[in-house]
Order: sequence, then structure tokens, then C-alpha cells
Amino acid sequence: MKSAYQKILVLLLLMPVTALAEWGLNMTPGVTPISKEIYDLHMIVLWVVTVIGILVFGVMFWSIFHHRKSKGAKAAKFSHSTTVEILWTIIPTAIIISLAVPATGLLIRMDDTSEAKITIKATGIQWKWKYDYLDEGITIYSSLDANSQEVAQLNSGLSPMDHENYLLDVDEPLVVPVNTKLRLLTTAEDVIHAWWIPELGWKRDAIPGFINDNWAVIEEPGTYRGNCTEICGKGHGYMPIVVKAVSMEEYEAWVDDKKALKLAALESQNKTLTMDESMAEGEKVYKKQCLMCHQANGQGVPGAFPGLAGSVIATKSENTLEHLYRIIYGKNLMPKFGDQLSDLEIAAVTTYERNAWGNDTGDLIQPKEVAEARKNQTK
Amino acid sequence: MKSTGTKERLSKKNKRLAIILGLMACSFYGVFVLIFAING
Amino acid sequence: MGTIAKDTHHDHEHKPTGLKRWFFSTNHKDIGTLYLIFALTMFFVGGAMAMVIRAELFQPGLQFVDPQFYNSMVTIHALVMIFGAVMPAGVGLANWMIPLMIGAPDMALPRMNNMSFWILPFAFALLLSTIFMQGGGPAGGWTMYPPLVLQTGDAFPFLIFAVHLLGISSIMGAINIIATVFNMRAPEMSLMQMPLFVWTWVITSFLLIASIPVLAGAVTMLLTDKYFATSFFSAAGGGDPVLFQHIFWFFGHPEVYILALPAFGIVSSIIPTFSRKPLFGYASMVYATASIAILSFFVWAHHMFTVGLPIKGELFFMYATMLIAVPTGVKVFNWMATMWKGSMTFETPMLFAVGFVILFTIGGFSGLMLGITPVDFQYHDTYFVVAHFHYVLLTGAVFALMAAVYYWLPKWTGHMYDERLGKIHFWLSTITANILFFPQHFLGLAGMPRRIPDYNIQFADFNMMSSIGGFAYGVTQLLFVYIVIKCALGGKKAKAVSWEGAKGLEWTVPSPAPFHTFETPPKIKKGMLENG
Repeated sequence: MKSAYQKILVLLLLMPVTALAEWGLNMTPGVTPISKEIYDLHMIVLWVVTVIGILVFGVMFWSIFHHRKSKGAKAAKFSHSTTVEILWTIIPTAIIISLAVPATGLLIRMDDTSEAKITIKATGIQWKWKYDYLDEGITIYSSLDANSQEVAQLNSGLSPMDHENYLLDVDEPLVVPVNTKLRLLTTAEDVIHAWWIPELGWKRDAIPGFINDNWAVIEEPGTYRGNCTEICGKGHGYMPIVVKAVSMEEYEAWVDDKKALKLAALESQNKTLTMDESMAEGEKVYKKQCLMCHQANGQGVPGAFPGLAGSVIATKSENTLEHLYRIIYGKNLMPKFGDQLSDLEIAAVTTYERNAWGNDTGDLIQPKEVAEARKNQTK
Repeated sequence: MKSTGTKERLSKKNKRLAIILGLMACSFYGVFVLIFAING
Repeated sequence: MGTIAKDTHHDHEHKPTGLKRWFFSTNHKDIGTLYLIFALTMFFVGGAMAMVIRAELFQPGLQFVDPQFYNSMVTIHALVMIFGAVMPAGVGLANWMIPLMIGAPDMALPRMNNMSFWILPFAFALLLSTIFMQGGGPAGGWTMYPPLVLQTGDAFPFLIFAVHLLGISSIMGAINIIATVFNMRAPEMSLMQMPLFVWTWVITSFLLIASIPVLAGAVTMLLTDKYFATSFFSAAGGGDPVLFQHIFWFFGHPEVYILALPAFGIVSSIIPTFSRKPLFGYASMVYATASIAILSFFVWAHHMFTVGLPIKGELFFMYATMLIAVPTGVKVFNWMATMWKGSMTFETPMLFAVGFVILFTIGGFSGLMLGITPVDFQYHDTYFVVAHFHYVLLTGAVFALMAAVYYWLPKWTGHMYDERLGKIHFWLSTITANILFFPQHFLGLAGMPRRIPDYNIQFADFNMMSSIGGFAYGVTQLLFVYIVIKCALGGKKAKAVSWEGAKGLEWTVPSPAPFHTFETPPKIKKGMLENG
């Protein structure tokens, strides 16, 4: 932080030079053919308006310096001239048409999602992303990484400066192969979100009940980062998007791994947990999924997000089932976690909530009970 | 007396125009609600 | 009954005094003053919220406020600035100046005028009280997109009713202006002789009458969706969340011009005065204003290029949006041609007017860039957009309003303001506003989304710079309040024609303008209206 003030001082003195050297000033050209075209069009328009600006403001300043009373200028009397008025209607129209032509072509090319090899559906959920690989039957959830989460708490006392990808990192990135036409569908579960990776050249809203389709061919392997770009509530700034573009072989290996993990999760249903295992696993799940609203101390945010410490649901034994239902199916602002968390994880986090922060009910929930609760509810 | 006559006439004219414009605003609202009532 | 004598006695300088004068006022000048004071107050309320926003964004990490509160600051800042500061300031100027400019004794409907002002404090009491409620103020952005806005807590009905009240107030104000201009003009003044400020306000009033009811309808539908189980905007119930955006922006884009057109009118009055030369292309100015107003109803979807419109729709709205650049360009060229070969002096109103022309044009350039759909997919909802609309609204509309205050302050108070301080205010405002908003272009292009309370360290330097500009701009505006109060209390006596090049009916009455003016319609002498 020491250098920030110096930087500003230097910046004010030598803005063009230092700024170009140190900071990102311009749009990224990106890593897809479309993003590069967008960048080129952006640069064309930028130059057009810059040149117009220099000409128009140049004439204006010339007039300001020469036609001032203190220089003895006498006011002319003219108040219209049909010729120039026609001229400065036609010239801007011509410029605009010349910009609209390439823009139209590009827009039409962007619209063509045909012949995609891989289809992935991105679903925005407050406040994380769910990715369904529709051809492979894999689903992953992608939320803010634990490190950013910790630093981002109000008055955490931790400096974001040590974390290069602060707020731009996730626990599970979207993995895709390079040089393959990807079809990316966007939708949402609760409110409107928007999916954006600057390097892909576009953003698209994720709207509950509707599916938008988009495409991209990533040409360079690498990790590309973006954010949710439609305000979606308290956690809007905390739902980054990370795409990892890898070779086709790596991608296929990753898909196989994910499929194996999915089988393992199914088997965990039959496991019986001890209290210690539950509390450890439950705390992990709580930190990742629940902390944003219910807070680290379980007190919630009065008026918006109910506290769990000492709450009727989390302490009375007759409400155990209701507690599970709330987690599985959601209620009002509470999202449903049933699809996202395994029986084991739901059991563990329920146990954790019923025993942390002085709730001390001693209740120990098993994955089997969660499986039962999933069946019972007719919602 | 003549000047109060013109004043009143002007005041009537103003009120009439205000009512017309007010009705215009209401009809924008009304047409709008009607469209969605039919659609919904 | 001996009281008849009291009623029939008519004293031209009779003024009610005390609180009654202000609460029950039907005088266009008093109501204009009330509007302007209210707008200035709200400018500082909204400004204080902007300071909270800039303080939180000063550094990465969360230092001062909770993200939910941050979102509510973003939301209420916008609502307060649009509906509380810029619109009332415009209506205040219209109240003060339109009767003076067209030679009318008062507004056409003085009692309704009183009501449309006094609704405002109540509407804002409703809106601002939400900050202290359980669950906090509305935090879904001023655009109130469902389903997010339906997650608002107790504040929700307050938000909706506040918007309704503001809408009613604006519509009544608009009706009043139209009736005044159509019925109350000096008999010798034709429509095409009216000053351009009057023209822009007539056109703005029609925009208000056509667009505000649409907003009222949209928020009513939100209300029934939340409390009466309708599902206009809920996909689960067969509705469509995007429908709200279409309706909202059908109001929202004309609203942008409701804020901007009066500013065009102000600048068109000021530039000829200080260039000592008639307005260039008066008729084309009127037609350009009208075409901007009409086009503004056909471009709404450029705010929603990323929602997934059919490609034909995206192309149509791209072309229509780009087309607006033509009449807007005509206006800028006309202002330049007015200055060309003039005999210019640069008092504070002229400085703000020239500042407006340059900075508004920069906002127009970024607007043209945003209008091009494929590249908008990158710019949309980033700080590039934030920079764009602050250039057109703050260094645009607000600069024009400041220019108007300096320009007509001598007429209102009878005193000249402190010219030296006025110039300092202009230069500080211009420099700080640019430090505040120019870096936001870079932030947006580099990938920083808008409406986020915290950000990655790569955005730290420009945000810090922007915040410093913001604090400095905020402090600078206190100087403006000082200048205005100082001028109201005393200073060099202003002449009836306060500026050497000033023409138009408002300069034929003494300074300060007496409580009642033009009780008999003025005669229009040759050359009196030639500034346009």
C-alpha cells in the first residue's frame, strides 16, 4: 500500500506513460476468433470517435481562443446556413452507416451456435454457478474460493493484496477443451445473473425460466476469469467465473475423474458418521455454503437472514425434519441445496448447525435420514 | 369587469387542457394495464 | 360583513409571509425556489451515498459497509439523484423561468403546482426511511429488476409507493408546463419564437406524460406479483422476468432524455448570450430536440442487448440507437457554430456551458460505442457504462443545471454572485469530475463489473484515483452552496439585463424579479428574442 499514493502522484503527472506501462487500460483481445473481431471493432470505433473528438474540439478551442471579446472579436450576425447544416447531418450519417455494416456482420456470426461439439449449461444460483455437462451427465458447482471468502468478510483484517486472484478464483473451475466449438447455455434458478469471461468476448444474462445460447472456440489453453455481471443480491460481487481451457486429452481425463467421483458420492449414502467426523465435515460445508448469509457466528443478519444460533428450528428436536427440509428444498430466500449437496454433506452440516454456537443439542444426523427426508417431502 | 372575464376564460381553458393531458396520461396507464390483463 | 373590502383590494406586491408563504404558495417563483432548494438538498443526500460507495471502493477488501447495505446505497443513490436532484432542479428552473420567458403572469395551474412540489418531500421521506428498516433499503438497483427486487424486505411497498408519488408529481408538473406554454404565452409570441429552453421543456413534458404511466404500470405489477399472487414476471407462474425490463426501459430511455433535454435548453440560452450572437440554426435545434424525443421511444432495448433478444431485434435497436447520434450531433455543431465568430466572454455560466458541450460529447462518444451491439457484449454492465452515464448526467445534466443557476441567480436574487469563486468552483468541479469518472472507462474495459462492493487488486489503483476525485468533487460542491448563499444575502446589485449579451423577456423585468410579473402581457420589440 505504501506505493499507492506515490503511484497516484506520478500518474497525475505522467498519466499516459505510466498508465500504459502498469495497468490494463484497454479491452482484452481475448482468446477466441470472435473476441478478436470484437476487439478490432472496438478499436475501430474508438479511433473514429477519437478523431471526431479531436476535430470537433479542435475547431471549438480555436474559436474559443480567437473569437473572444478580450481579443477584440466583433460578433458576426449569421444564424443559419443551409449548406453546412445539410453537411453535418449527412457526414455523421455516413460514418454511422460505415460502422453499422461490420457490426451487423459480426452480430450475425455471433448468433450462429450450430455444429457445437460440447454443450454446457451454466446456471446462476445465489451466489454460485452450476455447470451441467449435458453430453457427459456431469454436474459441478463452482463457488468463490475459501481464501477470498475469508479475506472478503467485513473488517477481516486480511489484505487482499496478497491474493493475486482475489474474488476471481473458484473452488471448481469450468474445464473445457481448446479448439472445440463449445455451446454454452445460460439460465438461473432464483434471480437474474450474467455470465461473463472477457477473454471470450461476450456476456450473457442467465434468466430464471429461460435459456440463452452462446458459443465460443477457445484457441489458447489457459485460465480465464470473470464475474457475475448482473446485480443479484448480497453476494453479487462474490460469484466469479473461472474457465480452464485444456487440451482435449486432459479434458477427457478430467471427465473420467468426475464420473468416478460421482459414483463414490452415491456410495457414501450408506456410511454411518461419528460426531467428530460430522462436525469437521459440517463446518467445511457450512463455511462454503452457508456463511455468506448466516454468518460465521451463526447470528445471521437481522431482518434479512435469520440466525441459527439458538433458533427454534436448529435447537428443538421435533424440528429436526423441518431443518433437513429447509436445507434440501429451501424456503423464501434460502436456496435449495438438495441437488448440490450429497446426503452425507447435508447430514454433516445439519449436525454441525445443531451443535455449534452453543446449540449443543447432541443430535447426530446420518446420511440415511437425509435420503428418507428426500423421499418424504411431496413439494 | 372585462379583464376578469378574460381571466376566467383563460382559467377554464387551462383546466380543460390539464384534464385532457391528465386523461392522456391515464389512458397510457390504462392501455398498458389492459394489454397485460388480456395477455395475463 | 365588512370583509369584502379586503378581498377586492388587490396589492401587486402583497406577499404572504412566514411558513404560510411556502406551504400554501401558488406563486411560480416561490415554488421554483422550493424546487431548487429541494433539489440541492437531495443532491447532497445522494452525494453522501456516493461518498459511502467511493469510500468502500477506495481499496480492495471490505472496510466500511456490508455488501447488502452497499447495494442499497447504489440503488438509493441513483433514485435520489434522478428523481430527487436532477428532475426537480429542472422543474424548478421551468417554474421560475418559463413564465418569465414567455411573458406569462404565472403558471397555468398554480394550485396544482403547489401540490406537485409538496408531494416530493413526502415521497422521499418514504424512500429514505427504508434505509432504517428491518432488512434494509431496496438493494436490487434502481432498475428494480424482478425477481431480485421481490426479495426486498419491508422496504418494498415503500419503494413502490415512493415511485408512484414521484410519478404523479412529475406528471402534474408536466401538465402544468404544457398548459402554461400553450395558453399563457404573450399574445405576440409564436411557438417558433419561444426560447429554446421553453421548447425543450414542452417536449420533455410530453415525454413525461407518455413514459411515467408506463413506469407506474410496471411497478404496480411488481406490487401485485409480491403481495397478490400474480406472476407477470415470475417464470415459475408462466410470466417473464425480461418483460419487466422491456417495460422499464420503455420508460427508462425517454427518462434519460427527460434529464438531458432541459440541459440542452439551458445551454442553448447561455451560449448565445456570452457569444453575443444569435443561436445558430434555431429551427434545426427544435427539430433535432423533437426527433431525439421521438427516437427515444424506439431504442429501449439497447439497455438489454445481453438478455438474449432475437437477432432481428438486436439489429433494429442497434440501428435506431446509432441514429440518435445524428440529431445529437446537429445540436453540438449548432452550439459550436453559435460560438464561431462570436465575441465571447467566459463568465461562470459560459464556462459550465462549454464544459457541458465538451464533456457531454465525450459521454455521447461512449454512448455510440455502447450502442454497437457486438462490442456492447463486452461493455455491458461494467464500469465503462458507469463512466458513460455519469459523463452525460453529471458533467452533462448537472453541469448545465449549475450553469443555469449561475446564469439566472442575478435575476432571482438581485445580486451578482462572486465571479472569482464561481470560476474556482467550475475549474475544481471539472478537474475532480474527470479524475472521478475518466478512470472508470479503463476499469470497465479491463473487466470490472458495476454494482460490486469489492474487487480484484488489478483494479485497485484506478479505483483509488476515482475515489480521490469523488471526495474532492463532493467537497467542491460545498463551495457552490456558499456561493449561492452569499449571493442571496448580498453582493453587487444586478442590473435588469444582468449580462451584456442577454436577450429575452426575462431580462426586461427588474432584478430581483418582483413577486408578480407580466400581469399585462408584454409587447415584443424587434430583436428581443433573436438569441433563441
